[in-house]
Amino acid sequence: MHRYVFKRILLLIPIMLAVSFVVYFIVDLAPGDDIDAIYGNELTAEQKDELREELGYNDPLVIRYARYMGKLLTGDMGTSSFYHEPVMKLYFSKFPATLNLAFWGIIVALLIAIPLGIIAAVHQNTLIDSASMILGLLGMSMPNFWFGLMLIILFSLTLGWLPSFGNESWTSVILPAVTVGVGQAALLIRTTRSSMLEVIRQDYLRTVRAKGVNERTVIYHHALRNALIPIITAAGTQLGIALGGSVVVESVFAWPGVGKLTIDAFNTRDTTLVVGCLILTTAFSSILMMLIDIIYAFVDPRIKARYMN
Amino acid sequence: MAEELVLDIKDLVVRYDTDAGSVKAVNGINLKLRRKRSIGLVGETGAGKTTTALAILNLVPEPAGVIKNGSILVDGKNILAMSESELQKTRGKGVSMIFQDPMTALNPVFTVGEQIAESIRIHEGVSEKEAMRRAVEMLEIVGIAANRVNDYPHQLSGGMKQRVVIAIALACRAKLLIADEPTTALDVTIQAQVLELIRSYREKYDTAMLLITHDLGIVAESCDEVAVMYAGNIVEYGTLEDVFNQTKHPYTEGLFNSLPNIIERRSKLTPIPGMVPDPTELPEGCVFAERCAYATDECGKTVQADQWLSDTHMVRCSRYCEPDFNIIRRIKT
Repeated sequence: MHRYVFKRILLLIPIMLAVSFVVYFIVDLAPGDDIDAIYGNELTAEQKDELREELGYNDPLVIRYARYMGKLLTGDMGTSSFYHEPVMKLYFSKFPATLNLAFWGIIVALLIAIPLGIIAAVHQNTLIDSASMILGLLGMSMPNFWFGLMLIILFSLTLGWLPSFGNESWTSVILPAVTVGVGQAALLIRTTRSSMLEVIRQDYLRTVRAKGVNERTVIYHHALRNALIPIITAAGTQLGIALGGSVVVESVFAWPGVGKLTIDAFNTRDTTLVVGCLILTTAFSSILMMLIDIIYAFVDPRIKARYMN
Repeated sequence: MAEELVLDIKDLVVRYDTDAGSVKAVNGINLKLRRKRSIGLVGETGAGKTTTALAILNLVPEPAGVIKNGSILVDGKNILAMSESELQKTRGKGVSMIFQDPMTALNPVFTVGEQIAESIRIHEGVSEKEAMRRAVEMLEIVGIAANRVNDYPHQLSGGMKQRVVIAIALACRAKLLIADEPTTALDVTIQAQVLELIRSYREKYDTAMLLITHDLGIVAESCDEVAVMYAGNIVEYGTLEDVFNQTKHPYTEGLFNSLPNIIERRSKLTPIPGMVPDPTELPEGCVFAERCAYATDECGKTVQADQWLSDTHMVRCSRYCEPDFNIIRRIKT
């Protein structure tokens, strides 16, 4: 098992190299650079070219990439041309809030999706099934910003129970987490339902019932455990996306996350910050996927056995 | 009644309602089983044997499967009228079942020890630890080393999985054991061991057994009575002696004739001609008439009634009443 975990960690290295190169390459293709962004009209075109030559901007892509990665290894991801602060520092000032929101968001999503999905599967093709599917569809079709605003109107303005913006107290995360979670739940309900439907017809559940086990245990203990892998995969993917931050939700709730930081970096042509944000976000997503691979082994002994050999 | 009936099935009718029509799986069968005794339920695939067995546990797969009629008394109590919680108490404790396919009968994500211990914990009200200790005991009884208790099903061979399935069924010493082709998935060499295992266990705990099989040899070895099933009907019923040596139904005869002949190795197998009738459209009269060598025009039209030849021997064939009617047996058993 340790060897398997170690192997998965090693695998992160080529993934990160490939992803960072693609990011660096694509951002490089975009017109304009941070010299334009910083100096704009202050310097003449010749002066800017001189500066580029001096700073090595005209070197071949591969060399610039290698230089960037070399610095990255020492923890230096460059300085934002817009904020005049290190990219690392900027990103990590926002990342905890994003992580917090992503975590509670997926918890909300799972709390909604797993019971609804199971109920839908157990009562397949009945009114209950259709009702949970419609609820799921509703969650998917409601735009995030609209749903977030509705929550603010109800819980902040009318009832005055919860704060509507910022990240000052632990209650601040509730409304944004519900907004994110309801959106994610829609897909997870469907995944849970179809995965449970597949398991629910298996012979081994008949064996369990023949032992005299009550229906609740049959479904939540024996069936759910077998249906969990696709659910974990889907939830992990959604969590990975959430780690990149959500511009919409962050804007609606004035949530200080990395989504807005990334988009603003694009808008201000802050290429160093763009590259940094994208690389760090993919790094965290990759680590998350690795953790999910490891979780698989604990859920399903057959997967564990395959990795042991 | 002096005799203690462990199982009493009366006029059981089970249908599977599908888009293609109503599948008439079990069509009014009667079956009585006394304490310590065993009945072999014999018939081809699709004859309704497994459906009958599942009905005894009230586990006919819903929503397609519907028990339309009849009653199933286990120890005097009607299974079909029980509440869900009464059913849960009966399953595993009153009636337990050995399932047919060991490859799919075990939950892949729990250890075999956990799966055996589960029924002990439910029915015996013992602690988790005690249940596990008894699960290990059960494993040893079925011939699996105690150190395999924490293995998952995928780590065991087919034969070992079948033994685990048996251990689950035997764990709570149920009064009635339903064994649905317990040896079909096993090597011939292991078959005998498994049958012997079940036999000694039954002797020890006075367990009655309903053995489902299509192997007449196994029936001869481990049953007191035989019920021959065809297209959802019991066409012949009696003691081993009645059915094996005084065969009265042409279908039973066909089953015997289609056995390989060990004495005359070169003789060809004699299969029963034709096919099992479509269970959505069973014939009006005798269900076997189409394939029966003795059938008259009358057979296909009249519904067959149970004819009792003696206290123990029943046959569902109207031609039997004719004075000059005789069954021809190709080989002697």
